[in-house]
Amino acid sequence: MGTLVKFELKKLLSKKMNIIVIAVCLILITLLFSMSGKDFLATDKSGKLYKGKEAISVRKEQIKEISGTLTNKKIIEEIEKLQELHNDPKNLITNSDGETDFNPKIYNEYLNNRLNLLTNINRVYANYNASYITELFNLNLKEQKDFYETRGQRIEEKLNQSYDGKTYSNQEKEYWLEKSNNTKTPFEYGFYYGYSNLYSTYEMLIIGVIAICICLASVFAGEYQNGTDKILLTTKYGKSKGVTAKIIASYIFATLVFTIYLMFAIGSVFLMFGTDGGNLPIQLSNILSPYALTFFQSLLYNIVISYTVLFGMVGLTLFLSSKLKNPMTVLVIDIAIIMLPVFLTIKSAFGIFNKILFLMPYNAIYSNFSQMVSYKFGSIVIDLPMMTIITYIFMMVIALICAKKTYSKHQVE
Amino acid sequence: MELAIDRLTKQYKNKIAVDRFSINLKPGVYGLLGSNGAGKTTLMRMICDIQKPTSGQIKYNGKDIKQLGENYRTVLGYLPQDFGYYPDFTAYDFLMYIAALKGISKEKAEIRANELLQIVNLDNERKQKIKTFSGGMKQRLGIAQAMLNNPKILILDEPTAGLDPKERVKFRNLISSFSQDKIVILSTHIVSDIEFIADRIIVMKKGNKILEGTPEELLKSLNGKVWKCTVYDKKEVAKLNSIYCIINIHQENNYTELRIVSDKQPYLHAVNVEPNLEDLYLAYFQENEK
Repeated sequence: MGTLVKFELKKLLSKKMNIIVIAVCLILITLLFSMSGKDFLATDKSGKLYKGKEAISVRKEQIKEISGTLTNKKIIEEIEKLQELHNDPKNLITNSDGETDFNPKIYNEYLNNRLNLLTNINRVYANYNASYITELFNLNLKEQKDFYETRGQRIEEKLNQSYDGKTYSNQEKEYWLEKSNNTKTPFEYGFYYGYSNLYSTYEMLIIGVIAICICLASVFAGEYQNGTDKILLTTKYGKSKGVTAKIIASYIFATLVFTIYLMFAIGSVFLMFGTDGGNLPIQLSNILSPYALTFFQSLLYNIVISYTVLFGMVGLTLFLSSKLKNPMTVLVIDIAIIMLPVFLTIKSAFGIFNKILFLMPYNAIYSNFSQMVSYKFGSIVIDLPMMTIITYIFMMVIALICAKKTYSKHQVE
Repeated sequence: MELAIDRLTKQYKNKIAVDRFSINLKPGVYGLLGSNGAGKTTLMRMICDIQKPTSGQIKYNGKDIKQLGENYRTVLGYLPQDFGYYPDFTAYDFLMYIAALKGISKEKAEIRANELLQIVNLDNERKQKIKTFSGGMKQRLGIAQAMLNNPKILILDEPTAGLDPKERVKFRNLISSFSQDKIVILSTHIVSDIEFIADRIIVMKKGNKILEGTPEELLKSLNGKVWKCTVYDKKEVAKLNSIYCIINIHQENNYTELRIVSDKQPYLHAVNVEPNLEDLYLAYFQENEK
């Protein structure tokens, strides 16, 4: 079997087209993932603008000032300080729309490093869809409960809300509340920009999946197209070990290439931003996330998810390759399946259509662990990341069984 | 050892490629003759279990080849009519790959691959990539891969296509020396390829077996029926052509030499000549067309 796998790998790696596709994709991934670091902007307290690695260092220092445990007391102090600054007209300017906001001096000296933190606080206390801090300016602190208790209430509110007449079932509500209750509070705050910037581009790894599928589209279909099937299928192991060797080689190839892509993608971001923040909770990037994960754990989880998506797509590609006579047709179907979700909008976490869309490769390859998307089978509730893993493993197994059967029963033409 | 083909039929939508073909094959060299589209390739593919018959059965030593599966393919060697290679593989790599698929151990495969590369005269090109090979070289490599496992059943579809006359002779000798206690089926529409090496000849037409026997048996039917004559009048040539089965027309400056198959003397000065397989093949096919 080892010899057969070796020859199958040789077939894949000796094709010039494959080498070109892998190399082009590697360059593309490296460029895309390093872009966020190169274009990163930050201003210091004097308002001086920095770019790239310098800007990252400036921001790192700024975040250090507010790093630490986000106790309720600290959060109240932050809001009080914000309101105090906002109540002084000297600190404000009126923009062209007639709205008041902080002047650049306050922005640079105070708000720059706090904006993410304050936006998250605003999401808990006032508006969970907030992208700014407006509501905090006039928030009555005496009426507010403990920050983490309010966060819990917000999650509950979201769970009780109706979306186009659709709601979470009681089992789903219980599932998400229990998950949320497992999050360790109070949260630690710190610099996590390496992770957040990695995640802002992470789904681009789909390009890697496409590249791998391009290379593997000809595993079986290429044999039909070249006419080598006529020889292979008449050999002793042509319909048995030969097929298994093709599958194993395809997975070795896919794993190797994707690991290189992952290393370059993650490396490009972490080389610029550093690996700081791995031990911080993912709630820093989305305060209402019910997942009890640190950024490092979420990265590991995402890596597992992307490998399963890859393996599922490799399985599907091999099946299509065994079924269709032309690698190009395999590729067209593959790309359509992978890229279709780009053109379709997910409107809510409900409905079969939306739930399927969540599982399509482009959406599934990365989870931000913020949405409460669940799949209910009887009394069992499965969250989106786990459902993604189950779906793609299932898809891989079924596709491989079918691929093996189809190829070994193939009739030459 | 016996390969029994029983009423084997292959039907495509509205075309019957092989029609209730039956034969019992014992060790020996079988020449499968037939024009293009006669069903030779389809028959061979069904014997190799890469095309499913519509009906009928193939049994190897009394057992259905479908059920034998790997055990049947272990004794099989096949050279398809047209097939592809891996352009970036060397000749040696290709043989080693096919050897691995045939379940031959690495040590044995190395010996066998080297031996066969020498036999098919590709020894000097063993490390050369197949994409640099000519058609004839590829065909020789194809022959080598078919013989890697020293198969008990060797199926060769148009094995001499692309080979030059010297290579053809070498190929014939190779098959003759190899065929001891083996079933070798080789298809061709070039009669001379099998004239010297086939123990039995099977003639196919439109999916049917129309003739079968040793070359001597088949030629016996033509004894006294093959004529050669020289004709000086072109009108006479045209007249003879419309009446008789003309095997060969050889035009010279002021006369034409004809080879004719006929029960009676077709022309006044025509003389009887020894029949050969080409006469038989052409006579049979032309007769049916007329």
